[in-house]
Amino acid sequence: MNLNQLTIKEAEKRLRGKAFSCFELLKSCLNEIKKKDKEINAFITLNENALNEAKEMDKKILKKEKIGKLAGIPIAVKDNILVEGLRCTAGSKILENYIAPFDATVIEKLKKEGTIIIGKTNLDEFAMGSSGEYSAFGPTRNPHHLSYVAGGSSSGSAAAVAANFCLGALGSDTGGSIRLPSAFCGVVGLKPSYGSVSRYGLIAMASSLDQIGPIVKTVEDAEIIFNIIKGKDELDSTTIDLNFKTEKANLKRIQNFKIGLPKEYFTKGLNEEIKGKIDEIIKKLENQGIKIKEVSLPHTEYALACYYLIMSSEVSANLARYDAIRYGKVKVEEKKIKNINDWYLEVRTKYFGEEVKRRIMLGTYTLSAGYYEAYYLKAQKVRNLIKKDFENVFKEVDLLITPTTPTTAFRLNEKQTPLEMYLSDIFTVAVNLAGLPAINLPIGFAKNNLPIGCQIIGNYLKEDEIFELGKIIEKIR
Amino acid sequence: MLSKKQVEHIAYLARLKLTEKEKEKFSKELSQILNFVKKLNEVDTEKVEPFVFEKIKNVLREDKIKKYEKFKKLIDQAPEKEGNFIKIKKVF
Repeated sequence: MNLNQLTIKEAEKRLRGKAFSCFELLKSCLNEIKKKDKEINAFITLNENALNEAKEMDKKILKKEKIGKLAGIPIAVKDNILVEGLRCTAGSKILENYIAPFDATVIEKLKKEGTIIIGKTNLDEFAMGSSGEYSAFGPTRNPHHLSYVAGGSSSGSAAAVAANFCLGALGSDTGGSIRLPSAFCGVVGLKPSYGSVSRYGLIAMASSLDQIGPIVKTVEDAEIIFNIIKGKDELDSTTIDLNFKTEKANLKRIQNFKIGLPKEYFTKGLNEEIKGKIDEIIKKLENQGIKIKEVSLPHTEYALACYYLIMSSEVSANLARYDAIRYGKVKVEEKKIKNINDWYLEVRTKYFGEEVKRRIMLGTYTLSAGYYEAYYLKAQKVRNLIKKDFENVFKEVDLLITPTTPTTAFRLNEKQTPLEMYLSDIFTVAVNLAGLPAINLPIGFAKNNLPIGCQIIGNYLKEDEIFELGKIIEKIR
Repeated sequence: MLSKKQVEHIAYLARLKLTEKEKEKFSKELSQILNFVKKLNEVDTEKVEPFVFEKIKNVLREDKIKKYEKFKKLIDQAPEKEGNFIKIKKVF
């Protein structure tokens, strides 16, 4: 086994035992990138200082200085999360030359634990897309099959972990952007509860939905990273004080868990092979003595419409700030520009991609005078009903199991209309609307050798329960 | 159905310029999406309050000036500047 194939947990243990150096570990990741990333296109920018950072860490280990929990572990970061001194493009030409002036809170926390940031990963422009094809820096290809998409929007982070370019990665999830590419690439991806991880330094897409989370190889690794990045941050007012120790103390024995299968997630449109694999897992869980129950989330069919209204409304507000005045240089034909308004029109038209424009326009329309009540307010009311559905179900069961995606990865250029693409998110968006935690777990492969994932949804702040069940499924799958 | 004229107006509000062909394309695609979200009208929300995150409360602090250490780095990202100021095109 090559070093780059290790899990975070294993690598961390063996680094401390001096079985190999941080430099060797990083080098094996970089070699793999050199060999394969031309085709996969997982990275937009590599951290040129990473090898020096690894050498510094090796010195610290030799001198027996105090080192952090992730000392020398190479982690990739989605290119909408700021890492000081590295370019941060958000997959968009409008930020092509923007150098991050500070670290996001999650990066500050990872660096404090000794993580080596290996590079910045590809994504759909401003995290808007389900396939990875909407990046201004070219699509990311699925490491399992290069004619297929990696899934989006955290396409590069999921592909980088699947291809062993790094030991773990950070992504962001607004409507499925961590879980969907994780399912398509066969890796573990956690979208934490809303408010549990700071978004300071994350390029905002839809502020009432966005969360940062880990993409890794095992549930244990997800738990390690989550426990480092979570917690209250005065720079993100939506973060809440968490006392996970108390929650952990209350953790039930796994055999006492009751698991719900929401019937609305197992109907039309679900691929037969995915359904078959989930059925197998359910049977094995039942054999372990875990109680399984069919439940209902009656407003599920409205989740996608609700999501697209709320998301695009918030997108139109958040992306108003991109004016090419503050965030890096762009090329403009000066003679066409008479005043600031001409400048805005020129740069935004030239440097935003098509999907970004489509969502900005949709949101501008739904928030405009006379339409706000019919669209945004209506959607916020339906959102409340979706949240209440989950509240009701979690009175009966502890966790839910659903498919993560209706199909396995599709071919590049297969989805023809925007609406067709949006339907890929059908099983992931409700979780963001309700602010709940959820994870994708790889559970096997389809006949065409593409990965199949299942989703575990937990009640608010019950990440620990998700991890417990996730570890059981990893053993029995 | 969104007309080409409406699309043109929305685009201007969002500070985007569209070609004739794009206006047609976006009018078709946005109409398709709006038609899809119409589904929400099936839901009776007359007695339903809009969504809020119950555990997230307003965070208040004293209105005090705090100097931002990396001030210079922020300004440095502006394509055009003069001293500590970001330079923009004239407004009118």
